[in-house]
This record gives sequence, structure tokens and C-alpha cells, in this order.
Amino acid sequence: MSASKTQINSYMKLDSVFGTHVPKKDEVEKEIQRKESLLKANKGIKNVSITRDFENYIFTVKFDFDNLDHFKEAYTILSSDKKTTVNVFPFTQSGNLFNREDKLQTLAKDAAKKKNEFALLFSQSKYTGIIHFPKEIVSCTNKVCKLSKDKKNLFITSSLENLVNLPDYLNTQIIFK
Amino acid sequence: MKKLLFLILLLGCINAKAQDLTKYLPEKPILYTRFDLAKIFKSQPLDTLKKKEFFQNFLKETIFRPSRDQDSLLTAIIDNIEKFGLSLNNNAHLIITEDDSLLQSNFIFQINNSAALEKNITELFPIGSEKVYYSSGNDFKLFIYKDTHMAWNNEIFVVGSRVPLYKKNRNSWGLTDEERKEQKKLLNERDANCIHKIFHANTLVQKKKYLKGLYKNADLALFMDMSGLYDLYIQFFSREFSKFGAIESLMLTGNNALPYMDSKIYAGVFFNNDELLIKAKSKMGKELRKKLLKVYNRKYNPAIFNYVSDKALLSTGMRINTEAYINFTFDVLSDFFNKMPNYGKYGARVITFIQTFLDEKGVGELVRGDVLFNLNGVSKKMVTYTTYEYDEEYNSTEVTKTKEINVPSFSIIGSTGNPKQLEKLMDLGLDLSNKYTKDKAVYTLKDRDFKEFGGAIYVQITDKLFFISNDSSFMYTVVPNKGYGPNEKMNAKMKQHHKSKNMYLDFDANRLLHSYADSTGEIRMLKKMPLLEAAAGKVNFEQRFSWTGVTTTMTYKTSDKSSMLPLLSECLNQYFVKKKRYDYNDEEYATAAMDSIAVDTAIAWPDTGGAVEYYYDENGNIQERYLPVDGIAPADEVLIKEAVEEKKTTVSQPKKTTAKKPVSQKTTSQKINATKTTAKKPVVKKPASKK
Repeated sequence: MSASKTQINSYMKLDSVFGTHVPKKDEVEKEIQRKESLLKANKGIKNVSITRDFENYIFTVKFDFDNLDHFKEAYTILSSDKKTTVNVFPFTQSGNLFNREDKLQTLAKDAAKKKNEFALLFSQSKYTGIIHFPKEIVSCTNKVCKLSKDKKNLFITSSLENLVNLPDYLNTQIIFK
Repeated sequence: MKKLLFLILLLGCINAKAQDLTKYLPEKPILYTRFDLAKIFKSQPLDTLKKKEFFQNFLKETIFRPSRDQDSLLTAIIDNIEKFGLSLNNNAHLIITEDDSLLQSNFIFQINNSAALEKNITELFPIGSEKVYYSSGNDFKLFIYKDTHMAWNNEIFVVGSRVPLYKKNRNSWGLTDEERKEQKKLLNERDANCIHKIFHANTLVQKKKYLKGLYKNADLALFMDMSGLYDLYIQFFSREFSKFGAIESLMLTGNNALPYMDSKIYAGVFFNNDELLIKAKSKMGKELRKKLLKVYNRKYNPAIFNYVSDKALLSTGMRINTEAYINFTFDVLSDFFNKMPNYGKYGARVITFIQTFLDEKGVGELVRGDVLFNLNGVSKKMVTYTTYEYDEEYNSTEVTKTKEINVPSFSIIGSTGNPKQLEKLMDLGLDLSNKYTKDKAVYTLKDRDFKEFGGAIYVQITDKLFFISNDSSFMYTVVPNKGYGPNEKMNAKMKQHHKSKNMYLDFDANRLLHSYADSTGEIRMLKKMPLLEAAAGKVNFEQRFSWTGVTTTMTYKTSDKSSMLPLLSECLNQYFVKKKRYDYNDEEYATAAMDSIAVDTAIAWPDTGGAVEYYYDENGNIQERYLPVDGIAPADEVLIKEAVEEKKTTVSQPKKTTAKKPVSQKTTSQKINATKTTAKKPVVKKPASKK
């Protein structure tokens, strides 16, 4: 969001944009603190650190986890808010098979309702996802994903508009060596 | 033959007189609006209107936000307007009146076919149903369904809602069903009594003075009694916050407030060929007028206009006498507190104390009150931002890049009678903060908050003028050169407009939009912003203060006629609906309500009004029940359910009680104990009727 910080500064001065509530800085801070304490209270999640830079609008969340179950807990905490608990977790693993199936349908549906209003934001916003694995990848079903030279890292990037229009865009099945 | 012709003409006259609905209008409405339906629907066909969101919003959220029943009823009527036998070729009227502590908002339509109307209404609300109050007299027929009423005779159809202005009787929450029915019946009778007055209003038009002041040929003509509105506001305030004590005794009502509220506003909206014209005039009481004349007597320092470019995208200004304005504010506050009972005298003392130390004349000299604001155009600024680069293993590294953005360039120019003192004040800032610097005569203020303006604001004081701008070239070239060159500065015509009006604004919304937007995508997005969506034409606004009061004219010219109504509707929406929605702090209200209300567990105010009480039944389960607080609109079932679900997940359950007695018979201490066991605050929402 750093590249759009001037626009974000303007939006932050509004109560709402196209009927969507714009949180104030202290509201965002409160929510970050709430999530941070929830993450820290979780035994399976270690070395939690959340950094925030309200000048450039860069927020980083870092933590260690031992297995996917613990990551699922962290994912739920980060995706949920006070009112709604998000129970969808896109990652599953069974032996050498790793599956990513994003349940973006709800998000896409909500976003599609305001597609016209937020057209510019959707087209200019970029999503980048990188997953680092301890093992080498043999095959990946999603042709948009890029593999690193050492075949241990998966890279995918897309505009937000793409994700709204194609909810299955990030889905993939990976087989490890 | 002549006699026959005379008879036909006479009959025509009688018929014309019968079409005149003014006899049904009240003598003293708080608000009155006359809609010329034929003209409005000619400009915007009803079928097109029905599909538009703003029109649906307008139906749902009229000024006093009627209950959901009225929404659906109005929608049903609009959807089947011909079936209901209503005339679309005549004027419709919206009236807001206060009578017998009952606020009524009523639409009056002329009827073509009363039999069709009756048939449709009885289909929607069958007579004999418990919920329907029905009265059929000689003059008119009346239906009351919840808080919505409909009444008609052979000539008119009235549809409206009511809001009682008297205090909520909290004791009524423990009433039996029979007692509640009786209370509802009494309320319906009061409602019926008020509606009776519409059908038996004074037929003497002379007594309805406000009708004379209306803009005659306006498609939409409006009258507003500001003192009536103020009184209404106080009554609402007293009703909603009476739990804090005798709040009404702290407030000014009626004549006490009149000197500053004594004005009547008339407005007219005209849908001309390619133009939307809004005219408004306010007629003020003598005392207010006298005071305001002193405030508005300031003239522009002519040198100001030398610093405004003829190519400015927008230029607006105001001229007031600062000293008179400060005095006026103190007069209002002193009067307000002096007339206020109980604690008013303390407030008045504080005002006197501040007044003793404040040099109004000095402040009035420092900033004289003639100020022009200009949007000069767009300047390009380089900004830095952080992004990421990835290596072969997709490890990220933070990198800083730069890009060019559009920044609006503005200037504010005003006059001062004491430039040296103003400079001293600015120098004081230099000592206090390192964000302020001075280079030659230009002060530079750099702060994170100025980012959208390019990072810095410049201030300069010279020749009895002060300048504020975010454009360094304006400060370092235009100001030292004593303004723009003869061919570049504001033209004489525009200058004359500013000089002759107290406020003047003229701009091309389309040009403004295209100047700031970077790309087609951005323009598309900006145009989706509610006000900009419609405002694609040329806007002209002027306001003048004279002996009679304030006259305001706003013209909006566009080739796109379809944008006229949305613009108007959006302006009304912004003012009456959105403002109301966002100004409110639910959490604060929840705390206040919880502090003062002791019931079993919690009370929620669903969005459409009404109260819901949550209580524990004999099995310890959370139950809900609707509390028919006098006259508040019925609760919204969906919201109740949501509130209940939320409570069920957040409220811990108390111990089961074996005593099987109705909750309403619990003692106060039991109720308070129950409240204490539920540590969470209740879901409390603003009642719909709160203003």
C-alpha cells in the first residue's frame, strides 16, 4: 500500500468510502494489538512480531509454527475480527501432497458488489504470495505459479481484480520429492 | 347560448377550485414541500426513477425517517400509483407538523379514483385485523397500521407517520397486554385527532401566510420554520435523554431561543431545460437581522484579486467583519446562558470571563474577515514509496522507489489590519517547533499531515495581506511580484461577482474532475463518489445578505438532464441522512443507556426503533420480547434476531432459578443482579427517531 499512501491518507480522513467504513488509525492499532495478544497466547505459535508503519502503510506479521495445525490457528486469528470468526483454511497436507484451495468465493462475492466503485483500486492493487517449503517441489498444477531455482519456493502474483473475478486463481496442488 | 357558455365556465371554475388542495394545508407547519409531480415526472419518468438507487433511498429515508411499514407502503403505492387512483398531474404535498406533542409527517396526494384506492388499501390491510385501527366517518376514512396512517376522502389521500414527542414511559414496560392495547388505542385516537384537523383545516388562505412566500413556479417549493425545527429538536433531545434528569430545564425552548432562530426559509427548485436552479431566501426576525448586518458589512480589500489567476479552477470567498462576528457569537452565548434556568448563570459568568481577556477589536484587526480560497490547478510532486524485489529463491528485499503524483495547488488570501502583529505570531511558531522555518519572508511549515498537499504549507504576510499556499512558485514568484500580470489575473466580471455577493462560487465540475484525476480509471472512480457522480456540469453558487435576510441562488448547468435529480437527492441525503448516521457514537450511547436502564439483562434498540428486552426464562434460556415503548416505530425482526444471536454467544448464562414467575414481576434488585452477572454490555442501537 506504500505506493498509494497519498490516496490512503486522503481516505483515512473520511468516515466511509462507498458505504464501506474506513477505520481510524487507533482502531487499526487496537485491532493489531488484539491479534498480537491472541497470537502470543497460542502455544503452537512462537516468536510473534507485528510491525506497523503508518507512514508508508506497511504492516508485517512474523511468527514461527511447528505444523499446519498451528498455522491454521494463526490464520484464523488473523482472518477473523471481533464479530465474525473465519473458519476457512486454504492449506492441507497429506504425505507428499500439498493442497491450496482458497475459499475466496465469499470475498469475491462481496467485492463484486462494489466492483464498479472500487474498479481502480482493484485493478491497481497487487497481491503477491510466496510460500517457502523445506522440501523440493516435483509438480505444481497451477501454471501461473513460478518455481524458484532451488525448487523449494513458490511465487504467485496477481491483481486484486483478477482474484475478484477468478476466485480459483490461487488454487494449486503440489507434489513434493 | 351565452348562458350555457357562462354555466360551463362557472362549472370549470368550481372544478378548478375543487382541485385546489390548499384548504387541506395547515396554518403553521414546521416544514412544507410542494411537488409539481407533472413537471418532475416529465423531467424524470417514474419508471426510470423507480430503478434509481437514490429514489429508493429517498423513499426509505425521508427527512424524519418513517418506520419500515411506511417504507413498504410508500414503495407499494409508488409501484402501483395508477392502481391506487392517485393523480400524477397535480401537486403533491409533504407536511411536517407538531400538534398535541405528536410529530406527524404526511404526504398529501390528489385522488382520481377513491374507490380504487380503498380497494387496494383494504387488500393490503384487511379491516377487522387486530393490528389495524379503522375509522369511517362522514368526511374521511382512516386506517392506522402500527405507526403509519392513511386517510382519504373523495379528493385527497394522506399517508404519513407519527412520532410522539412526550417522554417514554418506562413503567409501561411492565404493563399487561390489555394495558398496552389501551395505551395503543389512546395513541391512535390522538393520531386520528391530528389527521381530522387536516380534513377540517382552515379554508382561509390568508391565514396560511407561508404559502405567499413560496416560489410560485417552482417544481419543488419548500418552506421551513427554523424556530419550529429548533423547538422540535429540543423536544426530541429531552425525550431521548430525559433519563439523565431534567435536561429540558437546561435547554432553551420557544421564545427564549427565538432571537437567534427566528427565521423562515423558502426554497424553490426549478428543472429548466439544461439547468437545475435552486433558489432560497430566509426571512429573519428584526433582532437577528440587525446583528447579522454588522457581521456581513465587510468589503474585500481590492488588492486580494490581483493574486488570483484567471485560470483558477475554482475560486470562492467570504467577507465578514471578524470583530462583529466575535461579538455576535458572545451575544448569542450570553443570551443563551442568561435565559437558561438553573445552571445558566455559571455559563454566562464563564463567557464574561473570556470576553474580559479577549480583545475582539485586536483579533478583528489581525484577521479582518475578507478571505478568498482558490484552487489554482495541479502541480506534479515526486513521492517516495517502499516496494520489494525478489532474488532467485524469492527472498524479498525492501527497496525505495519514486513516482510522480498530482497534487492540488491552492492559495488562501486574506487581509489583515495589523501585519506586524501577525508576523510576530508566526515568529512565535519558529521558536516553538522545528517544523517551522523562515526563508526571506516565507514561512514554511512541514508536517506529515500535509502530505496530500505536497508535504509543505507556505505562509507569507505582506502589504496588509496574508497568503497561505502549498505552491512554492506562487509564494516565491507571484506574491513578490504583487500578483499576476494584467492579462493573467481574475477578470473584472468575476471580481464584480465576488464584490457584490457575500459568498460566491463558480466552477466547472467536469473540468475540476479531469484536472485532478490521473487516468480514465480514476475519473471513473471519482465519478462514483456520490456527489461527484452527478456533479458533472457547471456549478454556480451565490449568497447575498440584505435588509430582508439572506438570498441564496445555486445553478447547476448540464447537458445531462438525468444527473439533476440525483445531485439534488444526494445533497439532501448527505445533509439529512448520512450526517445523522455517522455523527452518532453507538458505544457512548450504549454506555449511557446501560447506566440508566435496569432491566433483566439488556435492552437493544434495533435500527428501526423500538426496544427489545432480553431476559432469562425459568429454564435459564435467553429470550427476547418486544417492548412497545410509546409510539416508537416497531422493531426490526432481522435486527432483533441478530442481536439475540450475538447475545447468545457473548452473554454468559446466569444460574437457573426455580421460581416460576413472570419476568416482569421480578424485583428491581433481582433485575440489577441479573444485569451484573452479564458482564458484557448490551447491543444498543440508536433509535430511529433520534435526531
